[in-house]
Amino acid sequence: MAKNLKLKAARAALDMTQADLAAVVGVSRQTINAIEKGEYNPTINLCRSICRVLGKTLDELFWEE
Amino acid sequence: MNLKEFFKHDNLDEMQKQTLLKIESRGFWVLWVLLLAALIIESLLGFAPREMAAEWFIFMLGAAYSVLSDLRAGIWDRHLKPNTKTNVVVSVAGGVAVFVWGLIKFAALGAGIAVLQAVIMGVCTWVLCFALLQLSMKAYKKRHAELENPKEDDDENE
Repeated sequence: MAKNLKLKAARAALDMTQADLAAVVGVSRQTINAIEKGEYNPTINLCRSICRVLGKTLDELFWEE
Repeated sequence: MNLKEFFKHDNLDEMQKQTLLKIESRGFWVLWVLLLAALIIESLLGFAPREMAAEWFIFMLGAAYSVLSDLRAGIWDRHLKPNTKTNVVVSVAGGVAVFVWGLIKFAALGAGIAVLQAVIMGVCTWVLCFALLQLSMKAYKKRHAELENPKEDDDENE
């Protein structure tokens, strides 16, 4: 799985750390880290939570061209 | 906090749960293999069935739980297909394993008796394994069909 740089960029744009995002969506920092590194495929529910917090759509963060 | 709340409470997120499941699955199979190895070694060392009864019971309980749960969930195997040809091959492998075990176990009784005992045990194991696999396969196919074609209308059928 490729790295999710779009997620990392969206998080950084809001000046959020991995720990901040993890706390808001209710997961551990290692899970956010694994998603950004492409090591973990999150459930649709977690994807939606992340999108809601970062103000992005699923396509913008998780769609691979 | 009562017991129900304690078990309902979850400290893990989805990735940690998946990781924990993988660890537990690996742990189950390691224990299963080691328990089987212990039973084989103990039987070859001449332990009485009574001395191995507790281990055998736990081993069979674990195996039965795994098989019945899989069948109930309509799951057969990751790699093997549910068909008679595969069941013949797997049951023959079981029979051969028991044949070899019998040869070692009864070697002290002399070659002739050891081979006779081993052949009888190997053939019985093969027949029993094959019958159980065929029965399990039938149960699996029935359950799989039930799950794939639910009787009540769901979103897919509406």
